[in-house]
Amino acid sequence: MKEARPQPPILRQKKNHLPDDIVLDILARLPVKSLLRFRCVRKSWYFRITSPNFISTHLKLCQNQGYVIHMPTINLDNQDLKVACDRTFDGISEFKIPFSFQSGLAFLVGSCNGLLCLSDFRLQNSLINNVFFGFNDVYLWNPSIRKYKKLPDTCLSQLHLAKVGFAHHSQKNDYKVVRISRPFSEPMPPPEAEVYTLSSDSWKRVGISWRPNVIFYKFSCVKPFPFVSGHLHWMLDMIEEGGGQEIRYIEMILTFDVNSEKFKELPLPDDHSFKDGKNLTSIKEKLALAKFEQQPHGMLCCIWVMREYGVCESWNKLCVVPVVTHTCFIGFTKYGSLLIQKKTQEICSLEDKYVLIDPETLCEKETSIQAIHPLVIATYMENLALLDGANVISY
Amino acid sequence: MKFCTVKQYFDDENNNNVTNGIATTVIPLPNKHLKIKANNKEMEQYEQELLRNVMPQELTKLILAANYLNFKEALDFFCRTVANAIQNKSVDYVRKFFGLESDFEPGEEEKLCKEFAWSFEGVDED
Repeated sequence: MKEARPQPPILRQKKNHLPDDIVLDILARLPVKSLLRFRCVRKSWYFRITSPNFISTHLKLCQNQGYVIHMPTINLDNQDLKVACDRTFDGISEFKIPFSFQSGLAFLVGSCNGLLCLSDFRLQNSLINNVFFGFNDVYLWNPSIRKYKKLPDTCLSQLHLAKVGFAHHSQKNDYKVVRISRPFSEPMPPPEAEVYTLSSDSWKRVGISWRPNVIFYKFSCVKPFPFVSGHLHWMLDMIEEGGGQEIRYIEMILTFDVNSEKFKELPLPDDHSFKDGKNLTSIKEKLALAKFEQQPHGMLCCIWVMREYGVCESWNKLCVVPVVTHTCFIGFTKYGSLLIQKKTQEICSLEDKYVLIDPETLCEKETSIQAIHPLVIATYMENLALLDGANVISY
Repeated sequence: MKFCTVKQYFDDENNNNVTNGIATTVIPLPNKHLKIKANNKEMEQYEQELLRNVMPQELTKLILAANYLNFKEALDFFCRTVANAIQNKSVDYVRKFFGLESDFEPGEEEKLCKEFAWSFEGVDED
């Protein structure tokens, strides 16, 4: 006689009814367009898909989509943002920027998990009606769900020369925008800083404690500054007060810890004199420095990498690449290839090619990019960021 | 341990169709995984071959079986396959697939659809 055996769990469920955790597993694998549509399946699906937890889970599966975006660093004729394959830079699609700026020029501040931050860009000192336009317009934009959000106005007294950084606060799954601004008045006070947090939708002032005897002179370069190891980085030129007639210029890396919201200085490699220009960048999630040296036969771009974050001794020279001017240095791809604009002469022309260089072998691979002006590149992926956001505009 | 659960499953499950499905698809998977573990492309092709003759609706049963057997690789594979199968389908198709019904108030659903109207473009016909 057979003993009564307990029914296996599968038969206790309604036939063919999948458990919640499996349905979620399936949903997390779906592309953004499908998920936006399936919000309409039923209420529980709507709440699930638009929940911060799901957005965060979905993001984890979005990491290897293989996209990169690029646009001119200084977008003079309001060109579209281009989406390309991140290995070959073959074009895939384009995004028209759905908002406009007071100064008329869009500047890509950064891209975190496919959420883009753009600010306006002031090309020259322009005083209009006694008001300086200075990076006041900042937008967060998710092209894959066609939503954007204009950030509220600054909480600082005045914006003049300002630099903006964009970061993902991984501990809280939040996004932050940091703005450092030098107010315009005589005598010139030190720069001020503020940080915007997406979850609170507001700016707040943050103090910077400067080294004694140094005065801020200017920011070092135009390109967006890297977000590495949970820190935003800016390269600054400072004046060291001596006591004496001589003015000494020094460079420093100012960092902002996105979690503690504190500013600190980071050491530069010892072998540094940056009279010919420099660029803070990143390679494979490590902080890097592109240092330019004008030689008799042309200009060289030397790449230094900080192998261990925060450790001065870990700065290591990676490679040296010839360039025509320092604007030819574009940046590194996710895979560590260096994108360079190969110019035939100093002025820009359509003959200029963009090539990918392997830093180890210095092998070059030509891309199909056709752009006159130097580009800015950033990793991109489709994701659901801003789906659960407040004050967000659809288009 | 795997043998016991499989045996018990076969002894207790009285739906022959499902049993057949399991026998031909789920069971051979672990061996194949071991043999061609390193080569993702080959595994992908094998998986495509395996599921060529399985209707999407059958996948639900296979998922339940793999879940019960605690067979992670198969579960992962089936979920991926379902996601691919439904990603370009209509809201109605997805409801039928999962055996769900709409519980929105009249007009609510329409409002939600309008918010991302562009996401309904290019969807497969039911």
